[in-house]
Amino acid sequence: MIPTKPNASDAYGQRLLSALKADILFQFKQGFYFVYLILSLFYLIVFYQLDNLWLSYIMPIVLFMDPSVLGLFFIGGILLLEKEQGILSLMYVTPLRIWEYILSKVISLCFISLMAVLLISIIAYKDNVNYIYLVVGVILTSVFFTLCGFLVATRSKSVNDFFVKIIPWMMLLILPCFLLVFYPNLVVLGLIPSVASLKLVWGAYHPLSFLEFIILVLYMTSLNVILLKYTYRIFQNKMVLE
Amino acid sequence: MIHIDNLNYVYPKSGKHAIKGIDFNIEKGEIFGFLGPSGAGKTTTQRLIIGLLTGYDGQIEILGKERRLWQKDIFEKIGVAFDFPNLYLKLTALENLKLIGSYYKNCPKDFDSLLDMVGLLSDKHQRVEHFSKGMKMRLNFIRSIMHDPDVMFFDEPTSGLDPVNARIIKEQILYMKSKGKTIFLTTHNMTVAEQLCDHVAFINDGVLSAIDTPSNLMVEHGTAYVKLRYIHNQQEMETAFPLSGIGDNKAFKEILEQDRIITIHSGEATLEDVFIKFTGRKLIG
Repeated sequence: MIPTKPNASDAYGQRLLSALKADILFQFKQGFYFVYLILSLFYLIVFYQLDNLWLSYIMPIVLFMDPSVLGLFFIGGILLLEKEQGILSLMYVTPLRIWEYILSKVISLCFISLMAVLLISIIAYKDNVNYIYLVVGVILTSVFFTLCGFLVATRSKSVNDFFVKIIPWMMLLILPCFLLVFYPNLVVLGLIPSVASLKLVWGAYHPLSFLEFIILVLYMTSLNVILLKYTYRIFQNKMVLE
Repeated sequence: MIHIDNLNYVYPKSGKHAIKGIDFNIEKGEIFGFLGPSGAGKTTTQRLIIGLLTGYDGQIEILGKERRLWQKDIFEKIGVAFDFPNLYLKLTALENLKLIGSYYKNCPKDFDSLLDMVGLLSDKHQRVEHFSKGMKMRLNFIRSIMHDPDVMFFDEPTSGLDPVNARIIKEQILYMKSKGKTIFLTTHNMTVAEQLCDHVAFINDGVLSAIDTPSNLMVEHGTAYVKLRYIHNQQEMETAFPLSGIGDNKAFKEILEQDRIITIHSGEATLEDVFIKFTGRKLIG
């Protein structure tokens, strides 16, 4: 007999938690947390050399790059490593739902980004920080970029193929952020998702009205929900059923 | 347990008509072998029943319900092992089972017993990336059955395994059958099919050419033979003759009388002979 014990707890929450645990363990064993730790330490060392005026400009940009660029790259690495190890096929033949699989990836990467960002900001920045703005900004940024990476990964055959394909996307998403330097008050720039999420993180260190904060949050949340639904559909067709 | 009626499937991208109107039934507690050469349609059929491929014509009834109507809950009741191991390479054997097991309502508690079943207990803290193929396949096997499913799907379960590992897997499949589990097995290995299956179906180019018990197929469609190895004109030769009417076979008698015989062996028809007779194709994996 195979010894078994029925689990009476809520199956949906239980599976999502299990998937999260699996993802965090997978990311830890693949060395993702180590990379984050080294990068965070590097930032901390650099930031310690700077005064707060410089930091107020550099820190939000660096902390924005962390969930965005790293999130974009990490999700591709994770997905394609899992594909190579047959984990994707495995997920399809377990009761784990596809949305649970996607959410677990998004949440786990968001968690790791948030930890790194908070660690750096709390240790290195001595002036006032609006941590509500920072946390919300990092979450929305991380979710958006992770889902973008997810979509590119579904169209990639291997990790190398993913890295080739993600570069133009990264340029397309990140480069408009530099326009903020020249046109800081151009409202229309905020329609570009990366700019909108940078504005949120920036707002943690510089004045940002509550109204603008709410508008940006609603905008990014809506985009993320649409992107999540689209990712679900594409992922199901491309990665699982092929 | 599984009823397939007039199943047809065309791959949407290539347009290949992979499954062409096949029918079969699998009863509870039997091992059903789905046999055929590579590309014949056996994995496609298995993937249709499991639900990895959708958009088929015809009927697939599994566990009393049409496959289209099942949600992911079906995977609480069925277990699947593909022909390659699906495991986290950086995690240990035990970590793999614990993590994957936690997706099931019927999550196993005693992982040591499971690992012991396939001789992996002493390796439970070893990372899977350091496992041999045989160890990975054995771990993958228990990964697929650990939630105690009613129906199990095994795709080439002994493919690429040495005889010792293959025997362990075969014994476990028979053990599952003894517990009343229904097993759907795809393989191109006729020996495995002969040893394990209650019924086998031959598929070739998407068409089923025969379904019966292995012994019936061999008796009805196979031919027992006598094989001679002998020296003729200073050359070593080998010839097989049908066993029936061997006493009146002139060529056979001539060899016995005129040539120097090295060995004489009699043999029964094999499932592979029957398969070749039906399909004209050799079973090259």
